[in-house]
Amino acid sequence: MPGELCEKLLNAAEKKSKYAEVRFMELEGSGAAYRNGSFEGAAYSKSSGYSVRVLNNSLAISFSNSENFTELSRALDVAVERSMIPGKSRLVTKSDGKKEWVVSGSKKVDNVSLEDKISMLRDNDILMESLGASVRMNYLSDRKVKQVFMNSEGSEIKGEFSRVSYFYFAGILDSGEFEQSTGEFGSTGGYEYFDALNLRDRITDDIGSIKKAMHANHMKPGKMDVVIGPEISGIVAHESAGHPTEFDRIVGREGALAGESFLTGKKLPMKIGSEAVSVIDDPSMKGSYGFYVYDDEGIRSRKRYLYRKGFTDEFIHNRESAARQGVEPNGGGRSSSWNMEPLPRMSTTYIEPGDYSFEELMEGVNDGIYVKNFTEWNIDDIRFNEKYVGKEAYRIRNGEIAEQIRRPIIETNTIKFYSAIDAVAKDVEFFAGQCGKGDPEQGVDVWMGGPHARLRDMYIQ
Amino acid sequence: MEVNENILKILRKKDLSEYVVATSVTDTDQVRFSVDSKDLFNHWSEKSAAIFISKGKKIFSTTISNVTAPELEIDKAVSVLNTLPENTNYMGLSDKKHSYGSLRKFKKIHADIDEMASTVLNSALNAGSDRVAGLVYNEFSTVYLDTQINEVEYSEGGLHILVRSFSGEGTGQESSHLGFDSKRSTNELEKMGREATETAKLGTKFSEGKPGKYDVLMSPYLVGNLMTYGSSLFSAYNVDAGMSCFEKKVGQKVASGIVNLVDDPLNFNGDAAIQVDEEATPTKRLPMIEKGVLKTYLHSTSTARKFGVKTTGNAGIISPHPWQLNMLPGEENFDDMLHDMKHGLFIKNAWYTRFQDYRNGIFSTVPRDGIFTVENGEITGSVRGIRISDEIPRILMNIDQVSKEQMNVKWWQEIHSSFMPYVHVRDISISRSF
Repeated sequence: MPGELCEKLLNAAEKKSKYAEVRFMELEGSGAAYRNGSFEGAAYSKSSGYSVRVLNNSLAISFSNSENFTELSRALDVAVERSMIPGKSRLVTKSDGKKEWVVSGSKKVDNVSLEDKISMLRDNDILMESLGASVRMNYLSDRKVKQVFMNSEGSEIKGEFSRVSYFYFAGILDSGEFEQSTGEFGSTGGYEYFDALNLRDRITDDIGSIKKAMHANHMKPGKMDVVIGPEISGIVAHESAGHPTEFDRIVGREGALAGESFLTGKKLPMKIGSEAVSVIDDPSMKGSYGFYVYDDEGIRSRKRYLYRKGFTDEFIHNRESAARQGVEPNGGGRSSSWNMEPLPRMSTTYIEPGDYSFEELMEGVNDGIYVKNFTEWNIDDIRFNEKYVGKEAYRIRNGEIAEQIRRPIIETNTIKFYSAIDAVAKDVEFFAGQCGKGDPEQGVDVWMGGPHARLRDMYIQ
Repeated sequence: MEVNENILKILRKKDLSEYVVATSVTDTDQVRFSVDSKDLFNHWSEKSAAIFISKGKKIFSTTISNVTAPELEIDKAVSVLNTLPENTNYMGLSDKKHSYGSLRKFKKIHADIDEMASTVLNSALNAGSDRVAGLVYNEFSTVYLDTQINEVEYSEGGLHILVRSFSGEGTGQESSHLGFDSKRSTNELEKMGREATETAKLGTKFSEGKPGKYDVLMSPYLVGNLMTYGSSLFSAYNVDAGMSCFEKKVGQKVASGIVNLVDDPLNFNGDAAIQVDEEATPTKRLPMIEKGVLKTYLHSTSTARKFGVKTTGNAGIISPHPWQLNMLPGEENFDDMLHDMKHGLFIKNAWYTRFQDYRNGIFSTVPRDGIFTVENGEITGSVRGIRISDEIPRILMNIDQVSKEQMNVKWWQEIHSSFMPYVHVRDISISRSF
């Protein structure tokens, strides 16, 4: 039976190392796609394997998907031999004891027929076409994960969970003009997530807005007040609060890949914005796309303030980065598969809601813009210089929403953005995404979100 | 293939139109380093099978790791296939029998990646770096591929070396890939480390960038990044989906007349070389742009039949893709290109390239690892906070110089293994943060 060699492999590994751990993961995923009125196809994958990490004079990991103990021993020996060569060798080796956790949702992924999934895709494709989208792609997928973590300090954590996700791309072509939009939704649990999502309403609103946007005017660049929507709050929290507080980036471990952090080498805590701004990463938020009870290194998950009232606060850690800072790991060690190393990763990252209503935010703006959501975005590798192109956006005049505008650009830096926030609304909304990091690159499921917020005196292009 | 026999025995008994079985056996090592020492050694030993099955226009894909007892998974796949709607765009697999007589055989490259990592790390540090980060890979896979009419065994892999150096605010990066035919030398590794640090140290006089139109000298890394992200626009899948700015452009001018782009899968100086595609069609050197004219999209048999042409050997059965791009060398010397610049920017690399409009190729990307101002042929300083915010078709048309020099470039998922020259491009739109 896949996974039954964990204990035997750990016993062998701990005899040859100062510290050892064994991870087993089984991932079973299925998906289907619809493109431009045609069923695209369906896919299923089942993958499982072991990862054994040993610490001696340095750290080494072997990954193998064999269920033959002789072959696994051979893989272990490669790691042990290499771990005798000097290198970095700090790791928090604690145990969280023996625990088990399960999340499968009320409408389990195994209980939803492929026919029903395809119907959902087809119905949304038809809806998009009726709304005028000539380019349409719809993807639905689900995944079941079983994981076991054991270490030489006595940890034995077993977890099982499932996730569901939906992604669409829509493009409208009219008189040589083109507007495109994507939507991504996901949850840890089962298909009950879609029952309350109102996906068809969301698609209808989204396509309706880009249809109008393509005939709207670009605005004249200049300084003005800006109200941002939850989707912008979310991407900003993820890109310029979550990533720069991953502690492996701060100490240079990702320097040649995903990059370092603008916090590298800075005196901490550091002021990053106004007192109105707090940003949280919380893997323990039930139902979220990044939910888990124990991370992939057997550490209990918990809520963390990354920025608190305008200052840096806690950092995202795995066992290795925690040892570098001299603190306890805080449940941020995530791995997308059995054959990927756990790295400090985000889960659900969001700007903490404040006290304002949306109307109160708007009332305080005489001449500005409301940027509800975004299309193109990017950020530099220290997570400082960033750009968000508005997808659905409007002028604000005397506290009221006025005419729609096309693709306004917020191109600024992290400190300026968070410092310009003077008011944060009570509402909060979350969006799903895939976050990439590491080499080999591994994507993990995340939510990002937040409330509406008001920024003063921003330069808009 | 014998490796696939357990799977094939089951598939042959099923009522299927077509199947492809590709079992990969992987043996890969990696050393990662940062600051001044090594972080981690990783070793991968994996075996898994990717299976594609069809019945008429019904198609299903599955990947399984239990290749010795695959009955349950295959039974499930076939029963699911029977319930699926048809994919009306699917036009079938290749029905051509191949002999593969000239296929080259390879073994994993014998290399001490620990020693290689030490060499490049120490070289960068000794050149005066504040700190360094990078990795060395030695990747090797053997693939056993069966269709109903073809069977073939091939190998893929090579070495990948990456080093990034930090000096004050400046950064520099060198990153290369070496295939089975590449010559390797300690001197080259030392040179990579040294040059990464030299680029980082060049970035001393930083200023905020100014938005506007600039002539830009692009290094092979930046060209590689733009072509990596732009390459999906050449896929027949994306053209058919309405997601490409090259729709209805075959036979038309899509780039400056000095641009020649080929897909170069049989060039074993690179680590992405491959001899057959995912439906067992032998790959070939494929001219994509000749003297600025688009010659073809990238095709599998299925997309080719839909477009009324022949496969180019680029399956992805459903979504074709390039293997190893090669922008052919031009006639200029890099030194002369830099020397001849009156006023512009020399940009070495970029990342996070994102499109706001695929149909028109409108995108922006964030320059990094060397963004220099050039005045009268001299590098005069560095800039921060800028973006290239432009359109792929416009950039291709505005290339007015291509260098003789080429580099093997590869970096993370930002630059797929390719061979790229320096290019000089007129009137690039540069935006900046405020």
